[in-house]
Amino acid sequence: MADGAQTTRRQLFEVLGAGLLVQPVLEGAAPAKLASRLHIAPDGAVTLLTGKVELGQGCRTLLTQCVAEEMRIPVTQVRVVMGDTARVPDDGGTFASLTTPLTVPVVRQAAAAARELLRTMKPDEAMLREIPVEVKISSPDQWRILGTPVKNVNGRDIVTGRLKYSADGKHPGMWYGKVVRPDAYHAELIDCDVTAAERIPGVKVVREANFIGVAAPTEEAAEKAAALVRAKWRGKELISPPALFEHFKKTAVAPVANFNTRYPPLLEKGSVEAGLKESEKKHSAVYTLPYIAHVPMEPRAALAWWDENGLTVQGASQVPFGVRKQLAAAFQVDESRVRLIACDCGSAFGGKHGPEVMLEAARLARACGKPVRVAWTREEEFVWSYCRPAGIIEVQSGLAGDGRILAWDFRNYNSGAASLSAPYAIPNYRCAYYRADSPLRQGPYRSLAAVANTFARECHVDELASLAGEDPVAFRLRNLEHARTKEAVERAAERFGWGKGSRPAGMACNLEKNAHMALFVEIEMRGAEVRARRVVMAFDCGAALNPDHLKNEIEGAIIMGLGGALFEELRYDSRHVRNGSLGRYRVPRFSDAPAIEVILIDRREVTPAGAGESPITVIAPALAAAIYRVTGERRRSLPLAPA
Amino acid sequence: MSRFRLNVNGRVREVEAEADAPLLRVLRDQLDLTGTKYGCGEGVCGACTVLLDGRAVHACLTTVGEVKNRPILTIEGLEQNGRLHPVQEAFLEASAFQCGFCTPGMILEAVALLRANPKPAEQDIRRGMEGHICRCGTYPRIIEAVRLASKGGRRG
Repeated sequence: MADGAQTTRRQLFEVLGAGLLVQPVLEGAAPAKLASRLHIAPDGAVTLLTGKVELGQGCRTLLTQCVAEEMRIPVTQVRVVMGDTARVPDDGGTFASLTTPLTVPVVRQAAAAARELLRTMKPDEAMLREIPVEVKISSPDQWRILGTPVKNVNGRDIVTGRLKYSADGKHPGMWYGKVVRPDAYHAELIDCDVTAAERIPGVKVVREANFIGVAAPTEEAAEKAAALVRAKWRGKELISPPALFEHFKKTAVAPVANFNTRYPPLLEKGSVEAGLKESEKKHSAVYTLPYIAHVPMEPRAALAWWDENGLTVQGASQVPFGVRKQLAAAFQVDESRVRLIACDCGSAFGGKHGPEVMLEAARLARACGKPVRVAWTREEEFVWSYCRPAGIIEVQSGLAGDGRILAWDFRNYNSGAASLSAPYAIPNYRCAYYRADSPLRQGPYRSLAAVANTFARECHVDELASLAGEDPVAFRLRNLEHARTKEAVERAAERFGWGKGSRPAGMACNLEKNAHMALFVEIEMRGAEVRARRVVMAFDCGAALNPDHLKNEIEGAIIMGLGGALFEELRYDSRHVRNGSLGRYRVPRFSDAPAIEVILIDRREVTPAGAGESPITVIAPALAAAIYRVTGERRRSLPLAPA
Repeated sequence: MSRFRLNVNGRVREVEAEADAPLLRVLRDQLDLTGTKYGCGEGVCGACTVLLDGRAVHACLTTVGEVKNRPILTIEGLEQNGRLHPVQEAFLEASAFQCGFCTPGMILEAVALLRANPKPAEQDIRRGMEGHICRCGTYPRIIEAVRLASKGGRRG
């Protein structure tokens, strides 16, 4: 092993530099030339270039491990440049837990090839070679760095406050921008008086179509000026609860089977009608969930400037190349004249796909001819970003006399198609996702609709277990399709002591994005308040590439999921979100966090699936089941215990 | 606008601001101490926590006028001569973060908590840290980090 490191160091060189080859490639595909993926400096430091972005999910550390493992060098010798569209290849957006399944193999391949090529040819020759696919990557039994709990490579910068997030960047001569917000969604600007605002020295007011913003040399001046703009808006009334769910059904578009998409909207097998007819017992129920907010700790911010190279924007983005395209289109410049530098994010959870704040900063920067930074307030983050879709899910099912599920009709309106199918062996099913009109702006959220679909499905399965007069664990083990999901259920049940304790408890399981999992929770109820006391989660996503960070993700996802399960909900009226502050929108805190035990089922031989999202899906139905054990009441709407 | 002399991380720094300007903004924009974060602006998330006279305060709700000449410690001032504070070490040891945005505030709160109570029970830690939000949900690890620091407990 030590030879490998020495070989690399003997053949030190500087690769290309300014002449770096960067080619946009299809999502997850390897860039053609090694030089567009790796740099090796004279001192032996290796730089990995990737379009993926660090959001707190740990991919900077994971990809560092991949390079170190395959090049057989220490982790400390690797640096990762992420999300700078002028320097890195397009690895697709950082979402849908795709870094592990798609980018890890590509990076390992490149690093293994680099090691091999450096051994056999001159360095400059090697780096201009295409990445050969026949080079073998290390097998799990040889791993020294992958599969081990390598610490977060950003760690020291994090604990010393040195890590720079989107609102921390400065540029010489930078101004501060503020956007004047409408008093309602979908509002149209009909009139605006900016004279008072413009009287503040140094302030520039920018009005373009429906946009009004101000920029000033200090943030105070920008805030003052924005507050002095007198704007008149014409808004559209929003359809708000309780009419919301009817609205979804009224505007629903029936799905058409399509398997050329990551989340097919219609899945069918056998005949639901025939299955129901054959069933001894039938059941139907309706589940709902509200809009919720991502609430990343870092509200979005961006710093933009225009110069002879065009537009440069630095900010938080999960999709740097996608946002570059949107910026180029918005300002009608060629994509080659837009550079997006994605900072490491102060978390995102699916909430930082869009270009919102970047467009605002770029617009103001262009209008005043200066670098401009726009940093959203927490309220702006709540009100003007997008939210997790609300939804209504109708389930109808039938049971055979022996406790097998025979028929399953599952209709999701508006939430989305992720985790639409059930991990149970059901001979007759129809699972459908109906698109609908959403009054609030909605978008991706950690695990997409898997939270919604898993909630409805697992609650319904718990109800079927009751209907069959069977224990929920036994009922699932009878009906689950995959041995790995069953093993997760069995191992978590055993560790939890299912059926042995005297405290009320519930469970749920899932197969999502190729990860199998089961969660058991013990609760305590005091009046309306529900507290999760103890959670056991068994999780199997194949090989655990960084077991400790994987546990960290699972624990965090459970705690985040607890918020959506118990109390998170965006409240809004005919115009606006009404609880858009952290004082009014409750998220989980220390006092909410249960004791969590994670059982990692680490299957070295199985290609790993991503795991940043799926472990958020199982806490809500498990809590609903536990609440039922206490109250005898089936709560079918999230949040389960609103304040 | 007035000039204020602030005592930040053991150094005297001059700033120009309105007396009611939030300390957070002055630290970040004028002194480039960006380790102190804006999270909510209403003192309910803890991301902007700094130590004032050794006690944890919200820099978003503290005004420049209130703090002149009183010692302020930000996350940047915790490391001494390249040596991390035991609480910083403990956060690394326990991997008590994911995105790290809330971490500076968490660490400073923990430093203040351990000064007041060097051997806190788990309930004391939860109660003491309750004003801080970690959206990544690393609470169990932060509790563990504070516990670790209290065990090492040299300067804690």
